[in-house]
Amino acid sequence: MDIFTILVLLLKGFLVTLLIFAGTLIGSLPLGIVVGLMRLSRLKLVSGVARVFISIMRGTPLMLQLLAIFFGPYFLFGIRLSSEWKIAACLLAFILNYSAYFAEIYRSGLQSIPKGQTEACKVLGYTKSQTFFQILLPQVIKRILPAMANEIITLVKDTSLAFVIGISELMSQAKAISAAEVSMIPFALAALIYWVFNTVVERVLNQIETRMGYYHE
Amino acid sequence: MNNVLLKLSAANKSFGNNHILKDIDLEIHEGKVNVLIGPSGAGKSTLLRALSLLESFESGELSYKDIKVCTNVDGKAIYDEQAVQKSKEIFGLVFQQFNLFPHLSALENITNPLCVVKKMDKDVAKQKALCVLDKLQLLSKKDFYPWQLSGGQRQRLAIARALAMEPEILYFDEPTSALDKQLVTDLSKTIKDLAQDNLTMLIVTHDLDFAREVADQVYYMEAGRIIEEGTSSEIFERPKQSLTQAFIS
Ligand SMILES: Nc1ncnc2c1ncn2[C@@H]1O[C@H](COP(=O)(O)OP(=O)(O)O)[C@@H](O)[C@H]1O
Ligand SMILES: [Mg+2]
Repeated sequence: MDIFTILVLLLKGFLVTLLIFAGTLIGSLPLGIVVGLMRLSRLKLVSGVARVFISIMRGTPLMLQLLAIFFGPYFLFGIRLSSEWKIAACLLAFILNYSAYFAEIYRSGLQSIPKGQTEACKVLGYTKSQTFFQILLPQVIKRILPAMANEIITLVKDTSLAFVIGISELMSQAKAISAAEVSMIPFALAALIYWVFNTVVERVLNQIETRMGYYHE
Repeated sequence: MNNVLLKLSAANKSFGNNHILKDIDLEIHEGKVNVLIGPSGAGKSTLLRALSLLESFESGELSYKDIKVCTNVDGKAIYDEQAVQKSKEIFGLVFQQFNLFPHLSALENITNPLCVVKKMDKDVAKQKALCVLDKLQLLSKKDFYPWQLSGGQRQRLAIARALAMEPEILYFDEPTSALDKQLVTDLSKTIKDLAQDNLTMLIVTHDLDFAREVADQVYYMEAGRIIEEGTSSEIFERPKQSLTQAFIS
């Protein structure tokens, strides 16, 4: 195999990596808000459920969660696993896991907004959801952006865990080619692709941070 | 001219074991500058916050015009959620810390509540906002963010935001606390202008010079009770209660 063929195979794997990355963000950024708000709920049951969920998701390895969700239907109900289920299970595991981390970030961000903001909204007659979406969330996003950026960069690297359930993303591709060719080059190229991608992600996040810099507290 | 805007009777409020508001009766009529004075810790802010429905009374009855916001049932104040919502159209509040929205420009600080709460059309809201900004000499600052404004300008923006909602009574909590002497003079003028336009106000302050300057009607509060009430000259020149005499001298 020449290096060009290797690169094409790796980039195919990277597309799957990209799918996991984007799918996870699209799912977990909003789900994190829901879990974070549940965690702050005054209803003990609701906040309790969120607390337990966050604790389990953050307290056990993502690799184990991937395996549990992927094999769960088979071991629990004897359902045969289709190949679509593989990518669905992968996305589900990543989304659930990351929503727990994001929930904690949203929660601390929300709690850091001065009470006076909510009070001003109350007096002006905003409903709770108007207060949240019009006034609180835009300010929360600015405050949590650095913490979010950390998680998002970690996610780029975490996508490689999908190899444990046999998804042919960048990491599995590199491993397979490396074994077949008895060469380290696929790994070096994979590392390069991860690094370039992360650099781009970082750039984009910095851009957003700059754009939110139009106001101070 | 003499309609009752706000009527509060036998209102009580505690924080834990701390009885803060004790059997407060208050009736505010249309078209006057009402000033609530009293020493620090008297419960003035708590009363204003409860009137603004940010805190709830434990017992007592509160109504805005014909809207019964809370009524006493078995010695406990029961709030009517619909009435609470409706009464928010009647009062506005200028917070001591202003509580402007930092992510919105001066103009947007005013248009956002108009569009979101009053469902006003964007262009109509903008016209309205420009009009109140002009009234408070902030027109040239319309695209500034709160952090770019001085203390006095921030306060005027907070007043403008409240005014744009067209309240019938406007509350102020310690409006002079963050201002230097010149700005207090400007604020007095602003308040008199608003009174000229027939806006009713209730101002909480411990600044007696300022109170003398703007007040028509004065309430003296100490240790959770309204001890004396009267016109500005009655309270400042011929106070009847010894506690009031001691405070104003
Ligand atoms: N949220 C609160 N929790 C507990 N105590 C409070 C709270 N708000 C005010 N108080 C107490 O109520 C009393 C009256 O406070 P406040 O209404 O702010 O007085 P004033 O505005 O007249 O200075 C004070 O003793 C204060 O410590
Ligand atoms: Mg006070």
